[in-house]
Amino acid sequence: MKHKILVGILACGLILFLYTGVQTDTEPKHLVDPQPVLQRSDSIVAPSQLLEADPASGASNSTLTHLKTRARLKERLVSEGFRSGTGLRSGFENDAEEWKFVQTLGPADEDELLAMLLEQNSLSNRVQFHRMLTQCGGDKAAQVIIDTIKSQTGRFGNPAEDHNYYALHGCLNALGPISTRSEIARRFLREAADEEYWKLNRQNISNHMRTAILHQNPSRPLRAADILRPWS
Amino acid sequence: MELINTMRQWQPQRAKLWAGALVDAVFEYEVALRGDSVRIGFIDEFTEFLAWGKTDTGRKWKQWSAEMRMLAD
Repeated sequence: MKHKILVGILACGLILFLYTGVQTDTEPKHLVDPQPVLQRSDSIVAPSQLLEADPASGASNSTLTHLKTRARLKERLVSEGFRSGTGLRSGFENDAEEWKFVQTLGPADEDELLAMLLEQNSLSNRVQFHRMLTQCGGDKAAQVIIDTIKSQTGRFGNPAEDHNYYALHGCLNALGPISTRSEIARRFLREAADEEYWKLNRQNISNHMRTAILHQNPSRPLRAADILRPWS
Repeated sequence: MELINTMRQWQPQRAKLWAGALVDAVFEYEVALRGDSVRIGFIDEFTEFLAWGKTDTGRKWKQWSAEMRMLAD
């Protein structure tokens, strides 16, 4: 009998101990300040959820609007008075407006800027997008601009036109700032500045001119002046 | 090499001007490191370019440009 009483007391003690222990374990969770939890649930929401969510369900209206507008760069540009197709001009009302807008650009805008750039059929009309890409462009922008440089002839009109030449010159200018974020741009500029290529270019030009002159009049002796100044 | 081929596609006699464009790119790179690539207007940029030409980097690149122009002549 005493044995049963002792077992009963031990069992009650064990149950009491376990109950107290569980309470001890759970109490700290209840002691956590609920405010940060609420803040976290407000701030950490996947962008896709925010875009689909009803603002009343928890996402703040301003955050939702911000993300929606960031996804539509073209609309942001229009709302700032930007006009595309203005040639070598920025497309903004003035330099201050351009600077104000450019400061809002980030890496997420690169794709849309490039899509808008590729819609332009004129080299000079791409300059305004080159300027914006200097602020946020990376490898993708560098590759598009390099491709532009490499595929000029026959695509954007007469290369001798000054505005086209200036725009092409501007492509290199744009690669300068973009090279702060792009290894593709850095590699291109490094290769372009390699003295050996310039020496090779000199040989290629000379050979090209030599062939052209000989083709015109094979019997005429080749003079140094013909090679150096073929069009003078 | 791509740049050189492009120069040949355009006007070979203008090749030496591309040396100047590359120097401009280096200048723009340094301006961009300050975060000023679009902020400064044409006049300010020109003034800064002149000042940059007197720095060590600017002097070296101008010398490089002069040498490449001579090669292209």
